[in-house]
Amino acid sequence: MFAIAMMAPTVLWTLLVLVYPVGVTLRNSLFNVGAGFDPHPPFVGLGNYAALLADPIFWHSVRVTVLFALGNLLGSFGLGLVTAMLLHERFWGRPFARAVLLLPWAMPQVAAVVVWRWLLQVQYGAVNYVLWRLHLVATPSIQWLVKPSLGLYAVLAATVWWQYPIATTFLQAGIQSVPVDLYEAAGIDGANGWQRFRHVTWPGLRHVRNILLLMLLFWSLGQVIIIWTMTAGGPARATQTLAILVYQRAFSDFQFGSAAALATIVLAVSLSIGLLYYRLTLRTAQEA
Amino acid sequence: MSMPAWSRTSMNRRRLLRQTAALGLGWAAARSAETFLDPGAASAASLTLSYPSWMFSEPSTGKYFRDLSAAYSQAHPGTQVDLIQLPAGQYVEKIFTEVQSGQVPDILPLFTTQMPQYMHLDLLEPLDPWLDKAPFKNKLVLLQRFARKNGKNYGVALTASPQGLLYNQQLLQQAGVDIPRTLDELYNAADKIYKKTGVYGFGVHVDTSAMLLSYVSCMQWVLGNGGDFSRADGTITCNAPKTVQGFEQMMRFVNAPFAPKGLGWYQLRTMFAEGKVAMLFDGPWDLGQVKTANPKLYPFVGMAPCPTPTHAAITGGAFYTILRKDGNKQAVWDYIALATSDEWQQRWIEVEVQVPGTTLPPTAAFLRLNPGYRYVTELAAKYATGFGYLPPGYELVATAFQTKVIDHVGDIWSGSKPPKVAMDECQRELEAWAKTLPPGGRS
Repeated sequence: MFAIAMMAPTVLWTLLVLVYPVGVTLRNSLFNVGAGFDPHPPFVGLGNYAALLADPIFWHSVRVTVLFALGNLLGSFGLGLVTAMLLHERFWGRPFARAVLLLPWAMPQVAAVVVWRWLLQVQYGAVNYVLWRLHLVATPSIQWLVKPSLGLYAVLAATVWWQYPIATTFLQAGIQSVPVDLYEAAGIDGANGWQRFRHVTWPGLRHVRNILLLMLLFWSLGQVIIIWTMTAGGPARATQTLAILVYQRAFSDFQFGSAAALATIVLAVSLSIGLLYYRLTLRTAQEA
Repeated sequence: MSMPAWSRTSMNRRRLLRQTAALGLGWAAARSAETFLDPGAASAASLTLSYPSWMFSEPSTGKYFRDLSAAYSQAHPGTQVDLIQLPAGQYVEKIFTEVQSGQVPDILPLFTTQMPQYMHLDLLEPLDPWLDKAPFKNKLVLLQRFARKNGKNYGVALTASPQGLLYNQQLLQQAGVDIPRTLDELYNAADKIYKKTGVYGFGVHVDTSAMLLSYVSCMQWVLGNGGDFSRADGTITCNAPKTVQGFEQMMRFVNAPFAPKGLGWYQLRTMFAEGKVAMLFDGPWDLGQVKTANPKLYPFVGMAPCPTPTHAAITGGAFYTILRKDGNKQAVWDYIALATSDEWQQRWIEVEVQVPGTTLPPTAAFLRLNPGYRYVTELAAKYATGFGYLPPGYELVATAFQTKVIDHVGDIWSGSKPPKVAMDECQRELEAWAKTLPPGGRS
C-alpha cells in the first residue's frame, strides 16, 4: 500500500503528460479535425491514414527521414568513435580536451543553428572559405541553405556537430570497460593498432554500440529544433522530415486530424525502436 | 560532552528551516495586515493585461510599446501591461496554438493575414459598441476593411505599411545615377553602384526558412509584374505568364553580381542600415532601423515606388483585437483607444517612423527632417496592393497556400529549376490541394 502511495504521483503525472496526449492524438487521427477544434468533428475512420499513404509528400518525407537518420547515425557514431578512441589515448591536456569536446552538446540547439547558419552562409561563411582555400571548390559560393540538393547535408552537419559529443561519451565509457589484459594479450600476439581495434575494442563495444545506435536513431526521428530553425523543412522540402511534416500539417495547414495520423505513424515507429532498445538493455543487464 | 558532527548539522538544518518558516509566516502576516488596513491595495494592483507581440524586441517599436504601456498604467492605476515577446517568424503559429488551447491573451495584435481565419472561427469580439463612440472611427486607414465581416469591425488597424524601393542617396550620387523608375534602370543603377563604389547595389531576400518573408519577397516581383498566385474566384495562377515573368525578372537580380547571395531580410536590412547595400524592396520600418542604428545615414535614405511595371506596394498590416473569451474587454479597449489616439499615433509616425493605423498626416516639420518618409503616404494611396500578403480566394488557408508556393520557389532561387517548370509544378500541386478543401473552407 505504501509502495502504491509513493508511486501514485509519478503514475498520475505520466498519465497526465504522456498517456492522455497520446490518447487524444490517436482519437484525433480518426477524425477530420481542422482549425477551430470543432467539439464534434466528422469521423473519418482510417481516412487520414489512407490519405497520407496516397500522398507523395508523405513518401518524400519518409525518404528524407531515412536519409537524415542514416546520415546522423553514421556521422554522430563515426565521429564519436574517432574522438572516443583519441581521448582514450594518454596525452597532455586530455581532461581539457574531454571538456572541450563536450561543448557542442552543452550548447542550446538554437544557438548551434545560428552558428551554423553563419558558417554555411554563401558569401561570408567560413565553410565556403575553407573549402576554397583548400582548392576543394572552384569558387567560395556554395549555396548550402538555398540549393535543395545541399540542404540535407547542411542540416546533417549541424545535427552531427551538436550530437556527436554524446556518442563520444558513451563510447569512451564502453572503451574504458574493455579489460586492459585483452589489449596486453593482443600485443603479445603481435597485433597492430588496427587489429587491436578490430578484434578487441570493436567486439568489446557491442552493447554500448547497439544501444547508442538505437538512441541516435530515436533522436533522429524526433529532431525538430535544429531542422526547423535552420531550414524550416526547405529549401524546396529538401529537409522536410516526418517530424517537420507533422508540425507543418498541424500549425501551417491546421489539419490537426492529418497531423495526428502522421504523429501516430511516427509514434509507432519510435515505439518499435523503443521496444528494441528495451530488449537490448534488458539483455545487456542479464548478460552482465 | 560535545555533540557529534551529524547532530550539529541536523540542528543547524532544523534551525534554518524554523527561521525560514518564521520569515514566511511573518511576511504573510504583514501582507494580510497591509490588505486589512488598506483594502484597495490588493485589488488596485490586481489587474495585469497580457500583451503578446512580435514588435517588442525591435529597437524603435519596443520602446514605443513600453512607453505606451507605462502611460496606460499611469492613467489606469493598478493596471499593468505584461509585454510578451514572441518571434515574428513564428507568431502566427504560436498565437493560434495558444488561443486554440484555451489561453486568452488580453491585447491581441493580429497580422492582416490572420484576420479572416479568426473571424471565420468566431474567436473575436465585435468592437463596434466601443468603436462607434471613438473619436478615431472615421480616421482608420483603408486596411480596416480586412477587419470587417458582415458589417461588424473585429479589429482596429494598428499599422499599415506599403513597401517600396528603399535607397541610399549617397551611394546613388557617388555612382552618378538617379532613383530608378523601371527595372532596367534599377539593374543599371545597381550595377554602376557596385562597380564604382564596391558596395552591393541591390539586395533580394532568398531565405526559404522564413516562409512568410519569402512569400512577400516573391509578391513584390509577381504582383509588380501584374501577376499573382491566385484569383478571388479561387483560380490558381502560379504558372500564368505574368507570374512566371515576375520570377524571371527576380532571378535576373538574384543572380546579378551586384546582389549579395543567400541572405534573408534581417541581414539585408542590417546591411542597408550600415550602408553596405544601396537599394532594397522593403517597408518603411527600415527607415526606423536606419534612424536608430545609423543616424548619420538617416538624412540620405529615401523611399520611392518599386520600379516594377505596376509599382505594386505590397502592404502588410496588423490589427488590435480582443478575443470573445477575454475577461478584461473594457480595460483592453481603453488600451487600444489610447494607442489609437492622435497623441500616440503622432508619436508612432514621428518618433518611431512607422505608418499608423489612422490617416493622421505627418507634420511638415517631420517631413523636412525625415525626407525618406515623404513617399510613404503616396505609396499607400496610389500603389497599395497585396494587403496582408493574403492569396486572393484562399484567405482562410493562407499559410498553407504560401508554404506550398515557397516549397517550389526554393527550386527557382537555387537555380535547380527554371521559373516556368517550378511554377508548373506549383500549379499542379495547388490545384490538387484546392480540390481537397471543404466547401467554404478557403475564402
